[in-house]
Amino acid sequence: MNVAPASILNKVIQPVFKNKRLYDFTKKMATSENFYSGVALSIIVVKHGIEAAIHAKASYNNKKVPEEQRNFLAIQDAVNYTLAIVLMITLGRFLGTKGKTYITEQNKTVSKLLKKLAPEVAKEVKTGIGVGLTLMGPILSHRIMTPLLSMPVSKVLKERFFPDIDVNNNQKPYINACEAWYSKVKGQKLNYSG
Amino acid sequence: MGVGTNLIVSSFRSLAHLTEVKSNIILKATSMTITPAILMSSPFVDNQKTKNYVAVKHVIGAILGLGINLLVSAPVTKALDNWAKAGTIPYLPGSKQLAALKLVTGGVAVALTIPPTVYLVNKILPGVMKYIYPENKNNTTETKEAIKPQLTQNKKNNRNWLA
Repeated sequence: MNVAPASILNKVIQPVFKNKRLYDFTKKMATSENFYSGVALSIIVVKHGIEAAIHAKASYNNKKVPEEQRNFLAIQDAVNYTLAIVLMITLGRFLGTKGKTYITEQNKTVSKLLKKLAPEVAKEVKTGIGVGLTLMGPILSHRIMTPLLSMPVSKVLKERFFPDIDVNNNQKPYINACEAWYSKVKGQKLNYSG
Repeated sequence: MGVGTNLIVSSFRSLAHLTEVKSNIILKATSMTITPAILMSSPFVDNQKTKNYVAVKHVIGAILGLGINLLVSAPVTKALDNWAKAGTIPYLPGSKQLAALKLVTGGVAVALTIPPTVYLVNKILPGVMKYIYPENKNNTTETKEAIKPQLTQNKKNNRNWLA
């Protein structure tokens, strides 16, 4: 699917890729395995870090969402992306890199099966296992483990940073009324800490 | 080889030919189905409304993410391949250096699309949730009327307490 007009890509973006510094940078990435994985890791960390900060701030300031949900959403966003960074670096990358070698070379059943196949088919199957594991990495880490862990962690953090004042929700209108009355009479917000 | 083994082999062979766009669609599809299901059925949070907010936000984010990926990242990656084949950029087609360039470009493209995605998610979310939890204005008025005497009494009590 190529939606962006080719003329825009040719005129605006193409000159960027002819840049000498970018060429040298990618050359270094291609020659050094450590540098390549370092850049890949930095992209994951920076991208999810930016997402965590922007999402959490936007959720916290979204006045159209009820206060209780808004606070939880802000915390959940921050926790979600932080956990995603940790899990994608550990589990996701492990599956993508070490997993293929382990399954195709060390697993007896798979090695036996691969020996039975024609060499070109076996090569294709090996690539397929690699692609499957590369997909399984983000699915397991970002799509399954992260939401599983983020909810309890978010709950704990929400109670820590935005504690519920009213144990019973029915008390909320009275508390609001009291707060409004106090600020009207005293000219300042009611301070619960005393 | 048995039928099961053949099936596994053929599915891995088809996985080997998976394009970047298709793998992205698979990832986003899991993000739209499995993740919200996990979020909505989490036993750690009692309030179902809060869980629904989180899950719906996730689904909106995944849909927008997929849309932006198809509109921005995929065409740029495809254009890079075409330019490399045509020789307009100094990268060899299929080389590791081109893969590195794609990685960097993809990262920058995704990072640039984060702010508009966040803006859209926060614009769409309240509207969607209003549709799921419609406000009953009459009921709200009734509730206010019902609690009015208690509210007045409470105000008096607080006034005494503060005095």
